[in-house]
Amino acid sequence: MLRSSRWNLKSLIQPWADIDWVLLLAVTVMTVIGGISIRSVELSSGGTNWIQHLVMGAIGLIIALWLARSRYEEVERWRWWIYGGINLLLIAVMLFGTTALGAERWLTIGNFNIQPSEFAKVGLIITLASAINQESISTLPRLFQVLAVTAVPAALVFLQPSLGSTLVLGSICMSMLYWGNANPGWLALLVSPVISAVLFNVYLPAWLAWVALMGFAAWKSLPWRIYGSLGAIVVNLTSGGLGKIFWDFLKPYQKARITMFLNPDQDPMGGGYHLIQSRIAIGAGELWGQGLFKGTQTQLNFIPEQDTDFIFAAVGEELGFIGSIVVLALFWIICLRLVSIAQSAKDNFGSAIAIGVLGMLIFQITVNIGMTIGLAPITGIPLPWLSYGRSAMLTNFVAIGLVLSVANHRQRLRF
Amino acid sequence: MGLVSIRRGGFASPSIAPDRTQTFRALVLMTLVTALIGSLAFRLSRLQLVEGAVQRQAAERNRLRGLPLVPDRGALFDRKGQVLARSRLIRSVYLSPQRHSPAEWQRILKPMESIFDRPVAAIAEQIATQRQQGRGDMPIRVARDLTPEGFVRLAELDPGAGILAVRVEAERDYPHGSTAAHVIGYLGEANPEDIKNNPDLPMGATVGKAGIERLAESTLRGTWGYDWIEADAKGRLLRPAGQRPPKPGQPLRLTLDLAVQQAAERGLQGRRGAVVAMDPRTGAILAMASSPTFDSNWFTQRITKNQWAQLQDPSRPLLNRALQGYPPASTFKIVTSVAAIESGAYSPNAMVGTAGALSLGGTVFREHGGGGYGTIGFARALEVSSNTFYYQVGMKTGPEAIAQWGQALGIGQPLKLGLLGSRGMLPTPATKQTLYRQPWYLGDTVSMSIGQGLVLTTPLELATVVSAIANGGKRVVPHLLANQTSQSDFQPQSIGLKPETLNVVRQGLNAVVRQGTAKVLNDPSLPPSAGKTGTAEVPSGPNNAMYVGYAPVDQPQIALAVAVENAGYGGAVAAPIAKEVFKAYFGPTPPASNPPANP
Repeated sequence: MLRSSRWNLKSLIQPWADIDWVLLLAVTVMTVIGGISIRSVELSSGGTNWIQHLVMGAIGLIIALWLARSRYEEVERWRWWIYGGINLLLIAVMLFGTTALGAERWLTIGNFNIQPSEFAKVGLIITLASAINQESISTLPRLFQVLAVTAVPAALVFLQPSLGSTLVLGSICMSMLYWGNANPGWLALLVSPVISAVLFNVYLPAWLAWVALMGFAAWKSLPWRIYGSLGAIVVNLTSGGLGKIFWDFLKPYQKARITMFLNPDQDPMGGGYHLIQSRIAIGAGELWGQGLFKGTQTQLNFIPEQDTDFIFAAVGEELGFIGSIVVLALFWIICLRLVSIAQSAKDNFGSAIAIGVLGMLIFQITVNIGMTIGLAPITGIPLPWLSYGRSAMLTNFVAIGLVLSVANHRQRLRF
Repeated sequence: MGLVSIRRGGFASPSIAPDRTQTFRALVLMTLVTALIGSLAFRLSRLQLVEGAVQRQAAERNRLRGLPLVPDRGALFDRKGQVLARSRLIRSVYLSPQRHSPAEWQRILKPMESIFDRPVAAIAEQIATQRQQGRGDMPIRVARDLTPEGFVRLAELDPGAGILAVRVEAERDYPHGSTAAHVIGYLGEANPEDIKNNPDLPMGATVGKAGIERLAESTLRGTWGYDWIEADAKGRLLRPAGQRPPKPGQPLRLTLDLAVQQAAERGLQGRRGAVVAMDPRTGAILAMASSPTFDSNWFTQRITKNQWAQLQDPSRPLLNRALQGYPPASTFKIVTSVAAIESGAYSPNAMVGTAGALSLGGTVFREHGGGGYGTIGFARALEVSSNTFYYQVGMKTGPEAIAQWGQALGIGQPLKLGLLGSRGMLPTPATKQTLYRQPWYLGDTVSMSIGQGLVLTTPLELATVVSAIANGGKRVVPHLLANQTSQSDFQPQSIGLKPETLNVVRQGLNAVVRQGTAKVLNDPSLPPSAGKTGTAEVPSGPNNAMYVGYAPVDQPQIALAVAVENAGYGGAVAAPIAKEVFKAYFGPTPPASNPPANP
């Protein structure tokens, strides 16, 4: 009886019967919080980005729902088209792109600014998921294939130059490799030269310990133990020195930009300004916040580019610790749902997509919020669903749409 | 093998239920996610909960611009309530920069240039500087102490509402100008260190820079008020955000007596020297005059070239000579007498033979005035100021005992006055060795016993010494604030002089005025006084004239010390100044009994 009375509604939502409603709800709430926060930032200037943010969010939601009812496996057939497309777009932006704020590049098509580096993220996720689906990454040749596939768009993004987006691609690749059964030792060896270079400049004994550890990791994980571990040690030793040479090669202002977050007070009116003002804003929020639309730092425009990269400062200031924790909790829930979907997916393609999206999101969340509270340098990475940015909004919703589709089409248990 | 490869890989075949390693990887990823988000949450808890209040203050400082409101500075009064320093209301003109460019400002303000303190170009420059500092819209003071004519002209030429505003402010005013300038001091613009110590002070605030103004700054200043205005990140003033009214400073009463001070300054006029008068019962300073002097008002306004030149004069008008060491000359014989008797070298009634000259260690030391005074005691020796008497007494007493009793009487002691100055010096063989790397000669003792040679005393110390004779053997603590007189650490300390010692010294000092070198003070219009003249030989030019004394002799109310540089004999130059000071203290003399006293 009950069933028949709801038959109409049920049939209406039937195509989405198995999607992850929690995930969908979480990203929708995020988008709304983002819209309100951007509204707050724009209150004094009278800007309308907040409307565009919500409109784009709604469009993104529709696309996500459309994707959710579509069969994501279909996408796999298009993977090389997609891969070629993003690389072409990245080349196009290098040739015809316009620069904004010195770093990110845009392609202006009609009235719409396209940021190909955003679409590259989801494009790479699809391509890599397909690669993993065909064969697990349990051999070194497979590993290098995947790395090569990643390297092309990563290099193009790096040359834009957008270090932040390059690192996001790296995070996607690493998380998917891990999920795709790559030996964790290999992954450690992959990032080891970077860590080695940092440690060499920070604390020498730690660097030596790291070199030894990597030698051990190579011994355990590589097929040719002696050459492998020797190679790992040599690479790590030289990258420590090379890192030093590279570091000394940087101009003082470039060094300052990287280390500024450790002590922004060294240049309060220059490179440290964003960091200081953002820290003040978030701290001033205290437990309950200054109140929506009442944060003085936000309302009086003390934080430049606040509607994009520094939107979290508005959340922290106006909604306080409580609001910040709610946002963090929502992000955590999104991550949890992604991992859960990855586990219950019916195939490796879908499973890997979910993990790729996780790698994309968690890196952006950590680095963006970390930047606003003095834990990370300024890299120009937006905060998913909160920062204003239409390409990023679309990308994130496409990614979530794909993941919802994975959830929707997982093997159902029927009774 | 096949099973293992499935378990390890989990990708060998599509699997419905997640296998074990995949679950493990999911756990690792979720742990990593939780650690990353957790560390953000932890940092947020520090920033927002632990440091939240501090950060909110920083946000407040960001948004609020304060237009400082000057507090009324506490007035200074003399002991009888006469005003020495007060706040005067002035009209100042403030310019609100708004959105015009500096060039536009030059055009708008040019017609009114005459009422401003500075050329319009300088004002435009200040606007530009201020904008660079992100304080763009803060009002700038362009004229202070606007004259009535300037006020009218301003009304006629007002370039438009809201650009220029007249504010009533308080400014320091010293109605008696240079009177007691060295004591009262002056104000000046707060330096970065002042502002660091008092974060409340706005840039450009005036604070006490010298004298009581500096000493009692915290009492006199009051608390600055602020008109708070909310500003955005570009420094645009948006709306008023409350006011903190200024709190006026506390008034202070000084121990100075305006009439006495003025008399002392009149006496010193045109000379270099100092007068200190104090109440010997308490140490309250009634007058502290130093000449040449300056006008405290000069520092409140912009100092003119002429004033600056005067302050830079080689005679050093800013120097407080009441706190500079002078050779005390014969006035020091009081100290030598006390030391000789109190150290046990001589009895109060001891008699010593004097002569026209004494040959000591191959050097001949002469008595002044020729022939010697025969065999005399301490009282007579003070009266006639016999040098040969004190040469012998000094040698027998020794430099250490003289120095010791000189210190007990107040020479070379640290002061609680708070004014800039130096202390006197009482040399001993040990200190001479340390300071000059020279041995002590017999001649040093001889010179010391008559207050010459290396002995230096400040006029304030001499007044302290003579106060101890006047008050029965107590060393007073000189002070300038009336409320200090009753404070425990400003109470006179007994130095344990025997009554016989005091008696014999007093007899001598009485005789100096009655029939000795200070007969000029033996004036029926004045209460009987006691004192001692001194005439110090100085390397540069004529002698310094010195005088110490107190009055009345039976119940002394005022003790003083006078020092006049390169002026001649103490009895001829310094004693008449003392007489003027006594006159001012004891009230106007009846015209009938006012004999021409000055020599």
